[in-house]
Amino acid sequence: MILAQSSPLRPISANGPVLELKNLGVAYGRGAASVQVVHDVSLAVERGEALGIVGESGCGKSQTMLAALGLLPRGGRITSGQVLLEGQDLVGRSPRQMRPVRGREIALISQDALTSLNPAMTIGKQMAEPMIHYGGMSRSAARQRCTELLDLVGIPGAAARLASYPHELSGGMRQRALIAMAISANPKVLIADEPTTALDVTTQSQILRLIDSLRKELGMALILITHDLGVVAGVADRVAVLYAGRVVETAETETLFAAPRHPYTKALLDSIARIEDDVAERLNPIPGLPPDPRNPVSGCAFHPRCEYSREICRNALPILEDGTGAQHPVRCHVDPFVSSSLRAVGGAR
Amino acid sequence: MLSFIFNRGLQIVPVIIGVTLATFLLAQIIPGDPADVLLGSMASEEARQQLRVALGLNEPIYVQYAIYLKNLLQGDLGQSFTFAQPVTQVIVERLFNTSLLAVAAILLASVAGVAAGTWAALRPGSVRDQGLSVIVLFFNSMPSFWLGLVLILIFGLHLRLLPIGGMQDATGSSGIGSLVAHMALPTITLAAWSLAVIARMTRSSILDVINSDYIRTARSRGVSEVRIVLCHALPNAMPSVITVIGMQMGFLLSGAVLTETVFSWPGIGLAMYQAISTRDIPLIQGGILVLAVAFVLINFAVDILYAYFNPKIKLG
Ligand SMILES: Nc1ncnc2c1ncn2[C@@H]1O[C@H](COP(=O)(O)OP(=O)(O)OP(=O)(O)O)[C@@H](O)[C@H]1O
Ligand code: SF4
Ligand SMILES: [Mg+2]
Repeated sequence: MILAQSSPLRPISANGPVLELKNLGVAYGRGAASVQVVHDVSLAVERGEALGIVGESGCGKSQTMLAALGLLPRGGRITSGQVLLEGQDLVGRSPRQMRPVRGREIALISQDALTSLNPAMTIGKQMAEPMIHYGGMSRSAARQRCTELLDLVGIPGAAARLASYPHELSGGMRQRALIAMAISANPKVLIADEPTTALDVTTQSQILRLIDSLRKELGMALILITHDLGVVAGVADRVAVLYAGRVVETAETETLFAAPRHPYTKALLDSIARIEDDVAERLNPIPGLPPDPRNPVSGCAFHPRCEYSREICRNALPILEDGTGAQHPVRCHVDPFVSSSLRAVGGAR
Repeated sequence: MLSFIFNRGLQIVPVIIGVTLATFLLAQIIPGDPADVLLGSMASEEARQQLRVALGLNEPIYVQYAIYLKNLLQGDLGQSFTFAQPVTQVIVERLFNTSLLAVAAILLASVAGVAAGTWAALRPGSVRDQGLSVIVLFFNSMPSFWLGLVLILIFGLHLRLLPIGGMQDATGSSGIGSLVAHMALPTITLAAWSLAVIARMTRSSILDVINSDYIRTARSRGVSEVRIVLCHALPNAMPSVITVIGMQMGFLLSGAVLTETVFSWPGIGLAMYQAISTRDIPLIQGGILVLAVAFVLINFAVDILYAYFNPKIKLG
């Protein structure tokens, strides 16, 4: 929602990405009934970096991240690839081996704030649970820490709120409590899955600013998942655009906004609701629907909705360039904006 | 919470009045002249007429109901001729025995049922889970009196491990050991069906909530699977489990009649069985009234427990 300023690019640390997904694939079901929902996704996020993951509903954003945490629901499985946390592969680890990673190395703010807190437990109790049982904290120390955390995320009357049940809190307060829970063990990577859906516009930008400032304060890497490019604009250093379970374009945020290469990215940019408009209305919603992974589309998955589609788009899957050239990686046969994008960034990248 | 209890308590009043009306009408519907039953068919017409007047049987029906209520409020449920005692006394003496059996059975069914259901839900689809389903089906397709007879056959007659009846007084005059031994088979018989239902409900409610977003939140924070099930899923599954336990308590009261008969357990159930065989109408009436009121009060208690486990209701 904050379109105007984009955060300065951070220097990329020399010792490699803190979290890297390599050729990750996720499927549901087995044999003939198997449905591939994530294909060959490769992403990396550096220490302290903010990576935005953007795509329409159902394009596999959440599934990718749940797979990284080993939290795929029953029936889901990783079909290929690696999840490297500081170089260590997490794929194939048992739940017991994954537990120390969750919350402490990689934390998740899941998609729906309204249902992501346990309705039968007080805020304090659910916040403190891992601290007491896995962090070796005493009850009073955990209580102290929870109060600090709620303070930190801007919940007024933090100490009193510990005794509240989730339904006694507003949507924005619940999201803040979830953020406090996610950062409670100082994770290296914070995954925020659409942290602002179901919130009103004012609260949305407050929550985004909160997440961004916490990231800088605590030096976490942030993976911000959203279907709204406007949301990543003010926060993310880099953006990966997902379509139908595949990465179709990745670029520095500024570059992506100034010179998108993929027709889908272009269409997403055209559809951003601008906050200065009185009517918060989609300008140009992309016509058509994203494909259902149960009926995969041949060739480029975007071709039924793409105005630049050609014969080859229907038959052959475009590959994602590795981005070694002058331009950032894109997965498109036609690359229709090639000249304009070269002009926009002066061909210098 | 207090106002919730008060409001819910108020709702009980009309139900209890309805129950008294039903038991009163029951005596009107049961064929036969009470004077016949009390005096025998050889009594003179004069004697019958005197009794009818004494019992108020010649009054209009609403007056009779008023008399019934008045007596009820004074604790007078009439005279049982089978036991040659006031009905109230018969019931009070046996209420303890029935409660003892019912409470033991519901405790066994709830604790073992919730434990078994939780244990199965920890590994859905596993051998233990499927084993539980088979046992549940077995218990649920077996009438409780039949299970009672089978248990008597195995443990009482074959293995001679446990007494199969003959409990005279459960107030413990012959020692706690004898009491427990006498209670074992009837308790198991009475509990089996409910245990199976509770286990199945616990399992399915846990599996219902285990896919919730808040469970994923807890998992994403490194909470162990055992804690997930016990501390996150089970409390959220509890409201539906408690509802089922409450319903089972009702069934258990009616089940007690059969079980007490099979094991000659000296409770209200056995007394009612005897009352029905001898058409001892005041005792049948009194027994039903007490069981129905107990049923209503149990549901009241269940509602309070339900609210306790469901903070939204408690505060709302
Ligand atoms: N449990 C499941 N079983 C089968 N398919 C699933 C399951 N969960 C998700 N999917 C499928 O995986 C695909 C990707 O879903 P995912 O939740 O990752 O989308 P998303 O990009 O996060 O969308 P949204 O913005 O709606 O959250 C969807 O098409 C969905 O139908
Ligand atoms: S490959 Fe073809 S269909 Fe796909 S985005 Fe590029 S131009 Fe459009
Ligand atoms: Mg999602």
